[in-house]
Amino acid sequence: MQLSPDEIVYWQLGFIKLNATIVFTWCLMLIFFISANVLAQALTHHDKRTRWQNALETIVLGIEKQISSVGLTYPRQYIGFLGTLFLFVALANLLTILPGYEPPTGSLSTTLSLALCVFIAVPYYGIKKRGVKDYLASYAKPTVIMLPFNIIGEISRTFALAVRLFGNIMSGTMVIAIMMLIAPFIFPIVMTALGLLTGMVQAYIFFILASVYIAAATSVNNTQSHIQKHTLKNTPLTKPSEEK
Amino acid sequence: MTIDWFTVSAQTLNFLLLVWLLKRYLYGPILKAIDARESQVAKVLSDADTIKSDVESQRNLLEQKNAEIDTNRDELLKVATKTANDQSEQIVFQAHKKADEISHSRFLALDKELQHYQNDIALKTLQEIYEIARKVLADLADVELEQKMFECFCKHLKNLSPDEKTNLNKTLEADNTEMVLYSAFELTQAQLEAIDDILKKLTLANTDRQYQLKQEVKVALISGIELRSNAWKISWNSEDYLKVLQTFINQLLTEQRETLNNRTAQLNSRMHTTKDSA
Repeated sequence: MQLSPDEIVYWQLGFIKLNATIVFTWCLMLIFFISANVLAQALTHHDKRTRWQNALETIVLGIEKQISSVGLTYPRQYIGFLGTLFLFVALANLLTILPGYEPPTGSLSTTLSLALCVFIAVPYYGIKKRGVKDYLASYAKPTVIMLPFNIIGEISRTFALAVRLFGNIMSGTMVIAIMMLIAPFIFPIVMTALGLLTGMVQAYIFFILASVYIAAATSVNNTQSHIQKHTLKNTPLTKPSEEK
Repeated sequence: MTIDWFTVSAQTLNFLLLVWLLKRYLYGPILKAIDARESQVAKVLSDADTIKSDVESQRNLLEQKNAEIDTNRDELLKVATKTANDQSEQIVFQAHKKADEISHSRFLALDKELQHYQNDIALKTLQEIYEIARKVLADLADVELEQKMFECFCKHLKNLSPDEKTNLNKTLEADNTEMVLYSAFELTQAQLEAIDDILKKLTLANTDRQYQLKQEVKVALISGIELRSNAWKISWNSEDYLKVLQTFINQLLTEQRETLNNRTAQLNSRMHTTKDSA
């Protein structure tokens, strides 16, 4: 029994190998690319819209609203990264209903790579908004003693992200596989349905946690620094994005 | 469960590529479409607000104008009412004046016409009475009636007033004065002699004076007799009675006309009184 789609290797040359994780990720990327292209061409700017446009607008606006509800003031700055995170994980998990499909999120390499992206994105957005000094200073708050703990916390939560998603998806796949062996009728269907639910929940959790991490790195301190700057300079209050 | 770092790297690249692709082909166009539609909606709302503010300003203007009109309406109404009343009074006054003029001219015309009719009626009446009397007397004129007339004439001649007697004597002062005796019927010789005797008695003081007594038949006298000389005349016939009748009729018509005039004057004065009170 394979625990990860990484173990399914289609082609290998040295350390370069083409396993199921990469192949199915490319498939997902292709689906996204083709769908986005086709639907983008049918987009209209007036009131008469297609059902697909309505569905896409609903999804995009829903993601935007969720990002905003987390506390990020200008959600469109983050929708590219966070939205893609959610859609990729969700689609990867939803397609488990297809026979022969191996979800890339069932690979620790994929979840780790996503978690690493989040790990990089958090300081990226934090520094982008607050500046390097201010952002790095936040690790030494409330006291310098907290610096190692904050760094450990940063790393551990990244691993937690990766392992949580991997564990849930992998366990779901494993459960279905075991159930197929033990009771091939009815139970696998129920478990697949549960797997879909779990997959959507995990996608949402991954997306929300990433949003919260980015919000924690940007929003609060950003607002404080913005108010401080405004007080010092005695200038009219402007959008944080306009200060760049 | 191992971590394949090549796969991790590849998946990271794949994910970053997917982020770029979706940002480029999905989020960008969709958000742009949403923004465009929202801007259209905002524009429509802005236009609606502009129109609403325009309508509000126009409504305020109209309300202000209505208030001004309401304020001026009473004053204009008073002026219009006064003007209308003045014009009405003027028109009524002119109408009364015109009516009075017409009434007066009509009254004058009626009066003139009445006088004319009265004269006509009197004339016609007299003519008719003459004709009837003539006809009646002509029909009745027989010997006995003519004798009665003759007797009446003689009686009349005998009973001349002193003034008439004087006049008769003056007439007979000239010699061969011709005395003509007109009558509607042929007088007998005896009747002529009787008249001659009466004349002689009347002129006793002048018996030497000669006069000629002639007789002429004049049908127009009907049943009358007339004795005429150059400057003197005495007669008896029905025409005298008819002249009395004409005088009476004329007097009666004059009284009626005066009554009518008085009644019209009263009517005019009553009309003037009513107009003044109005």
